[in-house]
Amino acid sequence: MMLAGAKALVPDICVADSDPVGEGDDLLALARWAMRWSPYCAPVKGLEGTHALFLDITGCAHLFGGEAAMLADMVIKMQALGLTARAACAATPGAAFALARFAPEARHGLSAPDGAALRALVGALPVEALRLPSTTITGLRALGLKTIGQVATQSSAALARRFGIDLVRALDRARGLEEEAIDPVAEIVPRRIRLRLAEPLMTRQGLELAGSKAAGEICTLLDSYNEGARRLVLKLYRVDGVVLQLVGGSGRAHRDAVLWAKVLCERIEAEANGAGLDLGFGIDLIEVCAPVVEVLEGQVMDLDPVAAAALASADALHRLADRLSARLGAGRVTRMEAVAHWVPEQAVRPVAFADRRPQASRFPEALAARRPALLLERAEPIDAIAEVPDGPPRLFRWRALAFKVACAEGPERIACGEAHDRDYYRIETSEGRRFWLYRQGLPGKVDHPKWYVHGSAA
Amino acid sequence: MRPDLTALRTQIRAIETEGRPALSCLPTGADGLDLALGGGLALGGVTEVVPAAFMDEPASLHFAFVCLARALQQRSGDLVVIEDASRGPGWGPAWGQFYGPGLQKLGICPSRILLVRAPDVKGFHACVEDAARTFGLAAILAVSGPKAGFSLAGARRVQLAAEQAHSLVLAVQGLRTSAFAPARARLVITSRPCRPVPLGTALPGLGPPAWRLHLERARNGARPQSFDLEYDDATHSLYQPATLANRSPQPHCLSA
Repeated sequence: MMLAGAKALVPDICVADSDPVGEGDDLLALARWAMRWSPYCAPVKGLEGTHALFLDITGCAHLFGGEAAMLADMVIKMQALGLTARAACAATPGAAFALARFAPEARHGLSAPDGAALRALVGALPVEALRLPSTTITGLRALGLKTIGQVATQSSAALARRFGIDLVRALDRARGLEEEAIDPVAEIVPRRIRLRLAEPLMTRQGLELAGSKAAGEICTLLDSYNEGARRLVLKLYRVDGVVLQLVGGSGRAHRDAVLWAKVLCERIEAEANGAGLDLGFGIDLIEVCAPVVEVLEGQVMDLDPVAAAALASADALHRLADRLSARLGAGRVTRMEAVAHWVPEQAVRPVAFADRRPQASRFPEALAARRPALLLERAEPIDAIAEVPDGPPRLFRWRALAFKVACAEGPERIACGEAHDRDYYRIETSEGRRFWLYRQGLPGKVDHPKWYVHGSAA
Repeated sequence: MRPDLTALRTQIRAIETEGRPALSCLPTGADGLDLALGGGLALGGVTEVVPAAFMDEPASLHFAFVCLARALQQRSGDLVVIEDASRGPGWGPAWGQFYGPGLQKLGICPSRILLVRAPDVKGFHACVEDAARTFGLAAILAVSGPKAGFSLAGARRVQLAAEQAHSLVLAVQGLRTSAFAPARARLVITSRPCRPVPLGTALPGLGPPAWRLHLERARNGARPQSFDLEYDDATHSLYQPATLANRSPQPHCLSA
């Protein structure tokens, strides 16, 4: 029906533009939420305007009381979200898709049989159930092939010649003869625990308590595998189907329940103070998973007091860094890493403490001897009076203050490409203030070389 | 001294340090300064480092890093540098970011530094307190923003935490920051021209960096006094330069 016709029938009809990107995002969010039934969950791809999810429920159905009960649960839970859902379960994703879309029983959840019975069931469905582009469907209908069963009676060689190999493959998939891989939305993590809550959690205090309990449980789980976690992901399933995700990291793998509880609580607090943790109508399911785990070797207690103290101090530093990273964000707790690069601002790279194991890194001694303790992020231009052609500056003006140079050391030439070569000077003013200046553009090559301040406390 | 006054002092000291380990010190290497500070920088306490003027802010940071280098030489553990980055990176009106090679020159191994950039003043205070409470760190450097310093209560909490964990805390304050009240000592730093090295060029070369340090206040009762200090990058030692023979007498120079 045209929009004009619809408006004539119902004048106050609500009209909205179609938003494929937004719909895709919503479907993805729904897929995350649907992970409550199975970790292997993905939106169906490749077909415009198709809103469907694939769940691989192998080994999951018995947790919900069998396939039929699970499907009924899905339909009811989706209805509670205000969605009309049809669910079917079959040997292959293709068959399940066809049944869910076109079998009338799918409205309440349809658990299909295997083998010949499945082929008979699917055979009665229209060709649209094959998940193929509309040109192929129109072609099939033009030949008088209206159901999957009718198409299946034709020789596959002839079908492939006329419509391409895709049709034959889709036919096999729909009839439960060919498997299909699905690409799950979330990585599958081996170590994970869940807390189902009888009452939805509404307060931050309750959440922190539950987070601590979950941390304790995952640490017990890790203990049984002799592993430690480098990162824990806390997922909060809201009653209305939104999943909030918080990530806590650590500089080294461990399974200390108290520390992990602290980190998770810090993350909850930081989130609540920052962007605001919107608990909505409450949290009814908490999941903690450990995506990055390492095997922990047993540690031998050191009887030498000095070595034991060093170990304890490294341990204390790790704990402090983990706590601060959780509170401020990993990017704010860093170490410096040396990079072999001549350009001064690129010789140092900050590395988040939680990201990588710290390694001893040193700068070349000869280079370090000529560097300042404080480096400006961006060199600032100054007005300078310098010896011609290539001497150090005698007077310069920076930030509206005039400085007279008393001592100077240099130049140290750093090549940055023809016209950008820099001549660095360490200088001290008559009052004893130390700066690191450079001249860009060499005299003779450029008419007026420019001067910059690049650091202080040189 | 009158006996009742001495008795009162002892009594107060007993109340102040009840149940806490006695303070010990980390010698800086400059004899006169160590003597005045009662042995060196206080362990289990906060030492305040303040610039004398706006343009001395880099010098005060430079001096603080020299103290940290001394701490790393003598203590095990790592160094935690916490800065209040609420007004952009770097310090105050951006003197620059802490630069690894330059710190290595002063004797601080860059891989032993943990850099923490707090997003706001409140977070900064919490981080400093948390770090001060951690056992086994070589030293903690707290670099305040240009204006907001520690409140009286906040400063006291940091001091108590430092006493508990026996940690060395250096608080580098901005020029206009309120004083860190319970600090063991307040050192005011002025940059001072170095002793130039004649190179035969038009301008002489740079000697070792030099500062004038004014001990404004100390808990051990030392009177306010000034020291001229220099730092040798090659040997990583802080020292008072010998007074030259032809110099006029200078009241601020104490012989060790």
